[in-house]
Amino acid sequence: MSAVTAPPSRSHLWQVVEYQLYVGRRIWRSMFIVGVFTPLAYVLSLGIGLGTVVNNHGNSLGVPYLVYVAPAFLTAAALQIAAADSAYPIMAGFKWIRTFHGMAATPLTPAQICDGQLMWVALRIFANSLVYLAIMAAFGGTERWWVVLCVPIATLTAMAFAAPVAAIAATMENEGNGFNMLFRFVVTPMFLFSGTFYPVSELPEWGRWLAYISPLWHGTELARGSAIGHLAGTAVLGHLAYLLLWFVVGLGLARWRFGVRLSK
Amino acid sequence: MSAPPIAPGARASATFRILPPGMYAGRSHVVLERAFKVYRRGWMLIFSGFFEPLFYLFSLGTGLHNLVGTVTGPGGHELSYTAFIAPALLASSAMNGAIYDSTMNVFFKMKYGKLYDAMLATSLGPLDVAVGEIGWALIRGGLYSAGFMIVMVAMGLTASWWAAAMLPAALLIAFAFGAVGMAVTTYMKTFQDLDMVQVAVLPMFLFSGTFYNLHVYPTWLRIIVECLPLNHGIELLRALNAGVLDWSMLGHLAYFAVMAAVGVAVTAKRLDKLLLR
Repeated sequence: MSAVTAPPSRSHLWQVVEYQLYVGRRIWRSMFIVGVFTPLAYVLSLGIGLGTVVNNHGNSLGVPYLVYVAPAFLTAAALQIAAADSAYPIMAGFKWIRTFHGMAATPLTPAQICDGQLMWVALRIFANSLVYLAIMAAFGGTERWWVVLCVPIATLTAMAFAAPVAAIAATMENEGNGFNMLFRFVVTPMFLFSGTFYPVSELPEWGRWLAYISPLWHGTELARGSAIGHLAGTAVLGHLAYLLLWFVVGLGLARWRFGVRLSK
Repeated sequence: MSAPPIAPGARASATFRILPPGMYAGRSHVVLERAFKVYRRGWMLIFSGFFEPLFYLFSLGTGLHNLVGTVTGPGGHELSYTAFIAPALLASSAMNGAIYDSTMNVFFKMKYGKLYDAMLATSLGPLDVAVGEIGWALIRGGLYSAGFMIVMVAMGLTASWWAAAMLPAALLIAFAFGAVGMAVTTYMKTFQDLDMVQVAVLPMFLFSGTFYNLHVYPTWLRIIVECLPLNHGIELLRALNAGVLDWSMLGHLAYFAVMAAVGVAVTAKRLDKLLLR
């Protein structure tokens, strides 16, 4: 008798997504908090509250402060959620609940499991960003229709960072203290030093270079460009290329590490 | 012959002697000792927590000062934006650190590690555990606060010698939040309940006047925010940092003293009920 093997198919990737959707029903409350409550708090307190102070002080940004920061908040939130979703859940899938080992016992290949997991994160980020856009619009944080491009831009930015995080998560063997370091020394500073709250020209030289390296700054520039329209075409292409580079390299690394881990 | 050994509880003060027997053995220091031993291996984790308020201070202080200009601080003094947010970030980080320690960490120890079951199977009582855990959170919070204050002094953000009093004040804030956080954690059933902590803490961090004066709010919102504990902490530390003292500060202190007392009392009672019955 020969072993039964199903033909490899792209649709297998969706089975991983379906599994995540099924599991996701149990954590709807935390998804609501992350997806609706947190954006509301940021838009109201820093967009409108701090915005009042900035606008009263002779705002030099050319647009109301809320219009300036909201696309950056949207992009930063997408990146933070994607990083968290690609860190602990992937670690759990290999180490704590071992779902990936279960999936690997089916016709799914490691690369498909990896892609499916990241596709799930991307779908979640896309949905979250849509909600964020609606919240922005509800409080007058949008000025032109191009702003809807924030949603795909934020999703790309988030995945550009999430893919390498997934590769790290698939590599790490210990209990995840490394993630605490990642969030404290990479994700949080990235949020604070990527021109989220102000133009990076306000920073000293070293701060500007940190921003140029950070994928979040490139995403924020693109999202803000769609909201305000201050970007030249070449700048747009440059930012997009940088983000795609992160994503493609990250995805390659992640597939490789999934393969190594699941063949053990 | 030497004197007969004295039971650990016999040295406890009158307050503790009137508590139900078994609540307190006067040995909360062994809970502290355990924390030290455990974290000897995870010192980097502890050390890293010191940086978060610094990142906020550097980023927002540097980047926003042109956009915001000077801000009116306590006593009508004009402050740079960095000097305005620094004491507020100290108060917020005291809150964040204490809440994280007393909710997330305590929840794991209670539900998954079954650490407190083990501790209570010894001569330790629930009050020893509560005081020991909160004490550890305070030591950690005190180190962060002291570190942050050294940075503030180095950057010239302190205006008077009263600023030194921010350290005990930050500890009181941390104590109050830690005690209440731990009390709330004893009511949590599942991992998802921890999300509710974020629902309480994030808006408090964002709305309590860390980043701007409360004048920007409509009156109703301002009154709500003024009732929140973090706003009291921010007002207290901002006044101390500026050296502008008045009697309202006693009100802030009383607020935190009550929070701390209620938190410890509820925690001890709940641990007793949850783990000893």
